[in-house]
Amino acid sequence: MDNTIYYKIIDITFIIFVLTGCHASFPNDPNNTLDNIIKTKTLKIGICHSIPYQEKELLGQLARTLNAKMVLVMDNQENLYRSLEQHQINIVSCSIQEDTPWNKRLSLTKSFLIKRPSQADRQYVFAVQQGENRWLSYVNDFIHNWKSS
Amino acid sequence: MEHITKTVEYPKKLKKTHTRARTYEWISFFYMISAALISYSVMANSQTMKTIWLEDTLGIIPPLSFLIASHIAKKRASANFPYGFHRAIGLAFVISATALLILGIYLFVDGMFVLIKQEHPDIPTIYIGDHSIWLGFLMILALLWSSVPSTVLGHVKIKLAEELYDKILYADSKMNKASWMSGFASILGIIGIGFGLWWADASVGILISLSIINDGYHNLKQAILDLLDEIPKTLTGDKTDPLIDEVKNIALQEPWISDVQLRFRDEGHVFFGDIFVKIKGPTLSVEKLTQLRNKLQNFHWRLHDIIITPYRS
Repeated sequence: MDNTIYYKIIDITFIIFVLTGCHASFPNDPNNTLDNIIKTKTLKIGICHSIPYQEKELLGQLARTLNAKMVLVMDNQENLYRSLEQHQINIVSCSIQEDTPWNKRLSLTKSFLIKRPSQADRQYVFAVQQGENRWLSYVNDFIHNWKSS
Repeated sequence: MEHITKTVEYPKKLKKTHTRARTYEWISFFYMISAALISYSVMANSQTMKTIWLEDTLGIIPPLSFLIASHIAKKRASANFPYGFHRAIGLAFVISATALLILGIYLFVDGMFVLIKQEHPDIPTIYIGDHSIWLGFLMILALLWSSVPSTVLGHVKIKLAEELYDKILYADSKMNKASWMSGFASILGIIGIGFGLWWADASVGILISLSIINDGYHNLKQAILDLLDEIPKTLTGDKTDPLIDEVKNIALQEPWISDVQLRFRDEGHVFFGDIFVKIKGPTLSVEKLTQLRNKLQNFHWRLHDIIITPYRS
């Protein structure tokens, strides 16, 4: 058996891991969402009319970690999702549940628990534009840290 | 009765090879299941991973076909199946090739839709305790698992396939041997997503689907040609098996034969055939015919079921 090919495979794999591991912005966003938020210091948020205050508070904390001011766009869910697809906003907060029928067209973040007075607590998610993997990772890390704090 | 089709008996040396082939196909069978499960568990909505997952899942069929077919082919010929069950191998070959071709076409169309609709693949992060890992890295590990051991298995099995003249095993080994290419193309696709190139994933998926279509088409073509009783070809399928000419030469060496015409067909890994011999004298003893038949069958184990028909001009 020709072993050289296997050594080559191992070498290439090692190089791939080193290169990707060392690359500061890996994974990256195809539409540079996170870079743009940091550069413009503006986080464009789409929100529905009646979201719980905890969800708003969470968004405020997210904006602070980015050192960005919040620009709120209020509309119904469907219009907000369309704006998200057209890169007009960066994130949508609408008390979205994980089984939303839009989950094929949008990226949903990790879930977070919202306590509701006189009702059962519920897990919600935010929606971001599909494929913006760096931005998605950033929001997921934020939710993860918020949950564990 | 001597003319009734016998069960396949490998020569002593090949019995060991056949046992080894069965062992390696069992290993391949369980390995492919593990690869399919691992690919599925890290798939997210990556087109490349979907392609690899389906390829791995379908990769279970060839070793399974080999194991089932080699078991059935050993069954004794019966009153209902006087030719035995050798065609089980050809049938298994048709099934696995058809599955491969359909899968390839499906993945090609699916990948094209993803490109046309410009669907951007999500690869989320997962959390182990406080550590976050981008799922893309786990996908790369899964891709290494589904390609490197497979390539090694392919190299081992192809030698056994050549010794056993087994077409399913040969096609399976060839696909396994080439799996490092799809594995590494997929890794590039995942890394492409990581660098923000959303189209890299679906493009790689399409490229791999083309190679699956190619494998499926060639295997299916070969399987259909075998079922149409094409003259037996070498495993690579490009030349008539030299055994046919050797049979003709052996027959022509007999002093009582003036001309030979023959037709052979490939039944799995053994040949069935008729030899028409033109005799020189006015009469022919049965002993001479029996001797020639035994001589041919002893010449090569694949000359499995031969009928000699004498005629005079």
